[in-house]
This record gives sequence, structure tokens and C-alpha cells, in this order.
Amino acid sequence: MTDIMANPARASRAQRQALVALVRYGMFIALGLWLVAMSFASEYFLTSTNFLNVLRQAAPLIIIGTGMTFVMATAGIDLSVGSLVALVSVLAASWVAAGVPVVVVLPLVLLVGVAFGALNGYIVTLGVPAFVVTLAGLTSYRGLAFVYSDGYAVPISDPVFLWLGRGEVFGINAPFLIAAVVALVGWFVLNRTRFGLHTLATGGREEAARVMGLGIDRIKIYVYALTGGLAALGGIVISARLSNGSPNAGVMLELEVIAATVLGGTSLFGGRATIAGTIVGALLINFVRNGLNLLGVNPYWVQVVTGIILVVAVLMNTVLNRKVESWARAAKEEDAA
Amino acid sequence: MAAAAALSAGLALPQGAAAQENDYTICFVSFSLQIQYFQKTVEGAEAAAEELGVELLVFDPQADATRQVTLVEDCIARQVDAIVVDPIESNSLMGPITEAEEAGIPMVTLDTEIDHPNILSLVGVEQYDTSREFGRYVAGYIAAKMDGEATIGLMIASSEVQIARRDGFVDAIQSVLPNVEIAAEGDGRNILERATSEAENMLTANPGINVVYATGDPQLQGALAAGASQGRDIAFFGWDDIPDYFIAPMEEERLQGFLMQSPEFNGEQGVRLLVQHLNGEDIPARASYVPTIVTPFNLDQVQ
Repeated sequence: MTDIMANPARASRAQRQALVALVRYGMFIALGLWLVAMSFASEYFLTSTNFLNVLRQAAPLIIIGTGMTFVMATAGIDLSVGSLVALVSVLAASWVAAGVPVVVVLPLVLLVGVAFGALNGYIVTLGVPAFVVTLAGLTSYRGLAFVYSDGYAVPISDPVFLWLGRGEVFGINAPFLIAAVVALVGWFVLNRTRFGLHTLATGGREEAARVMGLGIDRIKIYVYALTGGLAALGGIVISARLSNGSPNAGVMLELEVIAATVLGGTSLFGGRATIAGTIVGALLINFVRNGLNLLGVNPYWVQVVTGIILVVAVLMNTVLNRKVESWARAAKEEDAA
Repeated sequence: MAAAAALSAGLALPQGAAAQENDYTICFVSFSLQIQYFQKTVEGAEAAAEELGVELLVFDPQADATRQVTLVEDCIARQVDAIVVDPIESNSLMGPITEAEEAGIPMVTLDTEIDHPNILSLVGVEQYDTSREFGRYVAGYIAAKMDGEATIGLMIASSEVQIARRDGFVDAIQSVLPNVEIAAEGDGRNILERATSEAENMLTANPGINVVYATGDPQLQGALAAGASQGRDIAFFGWDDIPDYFIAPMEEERLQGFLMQSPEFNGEQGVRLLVQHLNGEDIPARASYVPTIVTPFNLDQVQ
């Protein structure tokens, strides 16, 4: 290994490709290994009940993570998503409890999410760092949730609303179906549309993108609005799963979403983003937690392990990835020569 | 040293003597192990599990309702034989309780009632009734020592249990002493730092407050700290257990009355009832006890 690292030309083409793939798809492989290992370690792990269970738990992370992937692609960050979940949770639950039909409430709270997200985006375009803008959102949106609800949780009993959290279609639960649709559309928009391309360009080299005449400000407002809307959708799913509108919903969720996105290989510095990676990140976080719970491991370790995985993943995605790719390039040039 | 020896001897005993192997696995999903009260429920549950020879899996949702739902779901996936849960928000648990029912996993709750056929039993004190009784004791105190006039501040946490504790207390005071004013209510959310600042604000805004009733451990601790830092002459009353940090205020007669629960009882009964149910025995829908009122006068006996 060290031998071929020192002298790239000695590695065969196949070996080189394998190594590059190993690093590039490290998280996919890690998830696969974890699933196999846990299947042996616990007889309860590899069951359809458990898998559907974890998919449902991971769904809000995938939904909101899709938005976060866009924001990070522009080199931004959104810390306000967890608080937006809480705000949407109490608004939706109390409006439904007040007798407003669900078909009206759901689009309305999605709009609330989009509006708050757009507000975040607008302030970012004024030149305030995204970290600060959304940190302010983190405290004030949850504050609004507490003001509106007076601190009390509101039960949800509407069957249509509840279905979004616990219903199923052909044995697949609704939250995961919603997450799958969101992720698919997100993948298409990011990779196959002009908007996606411009989003990545904004994060890659903002000045260059500006010179090229891209509407940077407009793109930024759009991605934060999108994330706000998806946070609202995540909030709907979480509230439905808990049959409860609570101002305490989504505490620390923003950090989990960011962790899932970064785990997947999306760069914090913009320009590089992957929806598939975000899904894998979200699944990995949840399967690690679930696996350790099933084994009866002290649950505090889950937090420690998640942190370690995060650091290793970022190392792989940045330092190691760069090294291996330049090594492979060097080898190719030598081949050519 | 001697204590440690006694402890290890105590741990070694039940193995051979009383243990009857049941081969059950029971999940115990707590409320928050950062609060001493809940730590003691776990101790009670662990003692019962050891005595009955069942495997106990303890989980800590850290006062997060979403995490609690996830942990109950994981327990169902783990196909345990039964689940004990100390609910954070009872609404949130409806879904997983139904799923447990479908999986044939019986449950009991501690402290908070959940109306569902799969919840076989509720273990814990009658929050409202006990608080009303305690409210009458406090009313007697106000009548005797303050000529029946007082301004009361409430420190609560907006959980179902603590709201019931507030309501029982307030109903009792208002029926006995209609002239007593409930001046303010602070929400400590069961977090000490928050409860302290909330109590400081409440006392600053209401200089007339001379009685404080706190519905839970962090709220009482925060209120006592706020009262001490402002040098106020306030009679404190409150709930939950009797940790060491409440003994000094009671000896100084700042803390005038205290409801001492037996959290070990809850954990112990929760596990025991479920094992009895799994063994085919009938179990009661309610397991309760009346907490002791601790005052500066009976503190010695209770300790």
C-alpha cells in the first residue's frame, strides 16, 4: 500500500479506481458494513419492523437534509430549521384543533416555513453571515413557538394529519415515502436543472458566478426559502408522528441535519453537494443509534460514536479524498507519459 | 470502605437466595436521568429486576419527547416482553403504544396517566389529590402564621404532572383562603438554570410575594436560590423527593413544607406488576401511595 502510494505507476488501473471509489463512497461502504455487522450482532436488527421503524425515524432528517444540502452548496448554513419545526408544529396543531381543515392548514404552514426561510435568505443577501442570521432564527423562531403556544403541547387527533406520521402505503410508511419523494425531486433539481447548477456555482466561486451574471441574491433567497419549506414539511411529519404540536419539537435537530449532510460528503465550503450522500448520512446516524439501542449499549455512547463517525467522515471527504485523487491523477499522467 | 463492602455483599446475596428466573426482558424508558428523582425510579426498577431475575434495559430520553418515542419504538423492534415508560408528553406516546399493543407488548406508565387499553397500570401518586391535600396544609400555615393573608408565587414546569400539582394546590388555597392572591407563575421547564432565572425574575417583578409553591425539584431548588440571593423572607413549599440540598433550607426554616415521594416505589412496582402480568396474574390498574409531608418539625424522623 505505502509502496504503491509512493509510486503510483506500480498500481494497476483497476487498483487505482478501487482506491478512489473506496474513499469517494466511504460512507456508503460504512453504512453497508454497519448494517451487516449489526445483522450478526442482534437478531432483532434485520427485521422489516425494525427497518421500517428506522426509515420512519430518519425521514425528517432526509427531508430537511435535502434543503440543507442546497444551502450548503451555496457555502451557507441554516441553524434555524429545528426551531422552525417547533413553530410549524404548534401552529399546525393549534389551527387544526381550532377547526381549520387540514387541507388548508398544511399548505398554510408550508408557506409559513417558506416565508421564514426567505426572510433568512434575504438577510443573508444583505451581507450578514448565514451563521448569525440563522442563529438568530434558532432562538427567535422557537421563542415564537413558545409565545404562540404558551409553552403547552397541543394534541393532534385529525386522522389525515396523523396518517402523515404513522400511515403506510403498501407496507412502506408515509414519512419515508414523503422523504423519498423529496430526496428524488431534490436530486433532480440539484443535478439536472439550471437552478441546481447555479446553486453549486454560487458556492464554488461566488465572485466568478457573479461575474458570469448569475442572480446570486435570488439563488440564495430561493435555497433558504426551500429549506424553510422543507423544515415545515419535516415539522408536519414529526408532529404527526408524535400526534402532538409541541414548542419543544426539533430541539438540536439542526445539528443532526447538518451532521447528516456533512457525513454524506457535502462540503461546508460550498460548491460540492450530494443528495444521495445526505440520505446515507441520515440513515447512518439513525442506524448507528438504533443498532446500539438494540444491543442495549449505554445510549450515551451513541452521542460519542456519532461524533467520531462525523470527524472520520469529514477527514475522508476532504483530506483523504484530495490526496487519493491527486495520487490517481499523477498515476494517470505517468501512464500517459 | 465499610459501606462499599456492605454494598457488594448486598449485591451478591439475591443471586442465590431469592432469584427466580423468569427469562423476561423489560424495557424501562425513563423521563430524564439528569434529575435525581428519576435516577431513583431506575434504582427501584433495577432492584426489582434483580430480585425477579428479569433483564432490564434502561433508556434515557433526556426529557426530549421525540427521543422518548424513538426509544419506545426501538424497544418494540427489540421484541422485549414488556415496557415501562415515564411519559414526557402523553400525546406523543399514543402511536408507539398502539404499535406495542399490535406486537403483543404490555406496558405500564409511571407518574402520568395515559388512557389506552395497552397501558395496564399507572404507578405513582395521585398528583391532583395529593397537591390539594398539601394545599390545605399550606393554607393552614398561612392562616396561623400570616393571619390568613399572603401573596403566592408559583414555580411550575409545563408538564402534565406538574400542571396537575399546580391545579390541586391552587384549588385548595382558593377554597380555604379566598383572599390570598396568586401573583405570578414561572415556568422552570425542569431545568435548574432556567428555573433559577425564571424565579429571580418573578420575585423581582413581585416584591409582595411571601409564599412560593414549586411543583418539582429543579423549580424548588431554583426558587430557593433566587429567594436567598435577593435576601427575601419567603416561606417555600414544594415537591419531589428530599435531596441533600433541601435539608439546609429546611433547617433554616426557609423551606416550610415538602412532599416527599418514594420514586424507588414507582420503578420497583412498574417492573413487578409487568412480571406478574407476564406470569398470568391479574394486576391492579393503579398502584399508588400517599407521600409524606416533611416539615421542619418532623425532618429528624424522616431523615
